[in-house]
Amino acid sequence: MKPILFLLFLSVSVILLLPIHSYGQTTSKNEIAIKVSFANDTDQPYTISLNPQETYTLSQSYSWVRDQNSRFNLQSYSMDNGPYQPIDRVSRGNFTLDVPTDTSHSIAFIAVPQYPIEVNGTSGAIFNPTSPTSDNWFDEGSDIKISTPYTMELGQHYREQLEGWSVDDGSSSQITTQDNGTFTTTPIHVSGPHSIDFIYNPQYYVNVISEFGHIEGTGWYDSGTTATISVKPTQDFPVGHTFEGWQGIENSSNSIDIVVNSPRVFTAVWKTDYSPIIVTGAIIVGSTVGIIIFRKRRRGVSVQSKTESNEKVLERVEIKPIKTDQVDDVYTKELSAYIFQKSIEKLDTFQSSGILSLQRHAKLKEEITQDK
Amino acid sequence: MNRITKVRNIREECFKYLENSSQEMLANRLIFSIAKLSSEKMGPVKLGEIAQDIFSISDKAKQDNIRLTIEKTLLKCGIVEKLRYAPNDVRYILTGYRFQKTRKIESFRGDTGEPVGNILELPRSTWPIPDEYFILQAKKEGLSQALKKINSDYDAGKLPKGSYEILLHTMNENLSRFTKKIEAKYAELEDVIGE
Repeated sequence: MKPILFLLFLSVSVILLLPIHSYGQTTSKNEIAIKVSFANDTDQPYTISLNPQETYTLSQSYSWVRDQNSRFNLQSYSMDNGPYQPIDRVSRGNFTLDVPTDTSHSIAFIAVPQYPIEVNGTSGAIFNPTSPTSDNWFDEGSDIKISTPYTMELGQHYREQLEGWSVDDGSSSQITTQDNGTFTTTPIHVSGPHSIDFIYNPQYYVNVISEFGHIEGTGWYDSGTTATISVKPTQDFPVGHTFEGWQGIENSSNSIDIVVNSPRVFTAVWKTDYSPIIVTGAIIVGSTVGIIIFRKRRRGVSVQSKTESNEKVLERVEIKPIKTDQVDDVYTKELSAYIFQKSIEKLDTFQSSGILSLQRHAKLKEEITQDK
Repeated sequence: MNRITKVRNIREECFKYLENSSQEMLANRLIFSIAKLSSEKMGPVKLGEIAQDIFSISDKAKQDNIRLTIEKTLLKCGIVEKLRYAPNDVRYILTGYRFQKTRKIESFRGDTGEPVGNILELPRSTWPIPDEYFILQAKKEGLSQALKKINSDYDAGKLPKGSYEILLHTMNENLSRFTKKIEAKYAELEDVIGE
């Protein structure tokens, strides 16, 4: 039974293969062939048979899987062993080439292995050089650097600040924090897929607002840290201000510690203090009063001294003596006595009219008598 | 001199301290005492002097009493003026010797004082008229009378013409000098006293 089955199988095989063989023989005689190959065995070569004068467009995928961690990506091609022509580096889709069908041709592709670079922790990473296929896949053997901002503003008072970075979950490298600018990694050699992690720390802005005084504590704080905010009253003029506390906070100390776990605004509450202007006013008033008193004192003193000085400055009026050599001496003496008598009488009149007190009358009478 | 010649306006409520009806009041007695003492001294007077004059004793209690009355009443009324000669030397003097009672009139133009009654004069014997004024006046009067006598004697033939002319010239010259000085220095006082 077995020999019969074997013969039957052989007969069927001959019947089935006969047309293929005859077709291949027909192609080699009547049709042209396009042989496609890949340098470095990056893919399997194949041949396309076409009828003469039949237009043909060769289509080749830009990328194809190499293994689970890498891919091949077309870089250039060569026709009929001619010079390699570069191909635009694209990650997806098909590269097409119109192949003339005047005769058989050979097409050789060069593809390069690529690995992906995964970046975590930042949305602002920049590769240098950039990915040739613009998709974070990089050619094997290249060296790339990645830049990322030191701080990322995520809200008006919320940001993240770069603290460190690591490659492929290895030990992280600490970074000196900065408020501005961009951090750039050391070169990363592409020999396989890499995962780059940038470690950012959330920070919140604490805003201390005060209309008066000198404030401290405004700035960015790492989440969970303690901030000390304070306000120091200053000597305002002409109106002073007394610190009363912080808006919405029971603690009325001018210096408080708070745990920063969100953006915070602290507003100092002040009470208007008019004592500086009052004190100044009092000083001014006091000075003015002092000056007035001083002037009055001087005036008071000068009232007295003026009277005295006027008497000194003005010429003292005395009765000029009569020249006795030309006038009878007896008459002259008589006349002088008469003048004295009438002068005393005038003083008496003053005293009797009440203008001159008795005491002063006596004193002045004596004075006139001495002048005589 | 202005204190004598100028009339001080005093509000009704203060004027009473000047009037005879208030003779029993310390304020009234203080006014007259300051006037008398300052005319004798011809200058401001001290608390102790006032106390001595009024109470015949000058202890601290009396001085405090006087000071309070002056400060609270007479200073505010503008009757007495306080002069500080030195930190521990305060003296008082009257702001005037002739006073006019005024009544306060309130109007949209502001408060004004309407004079009421006659001018009240403190006794002239308490006016601080300088000695010089009296001496000048007395001598002027003597010269004036002497000039009359010369003329009279000359007319009566008691005096030769030469002597007369010399004496006339001398007396006129003297009289002119005295008159000028009085006019220059005491014209306003003359007007007041002559009223």
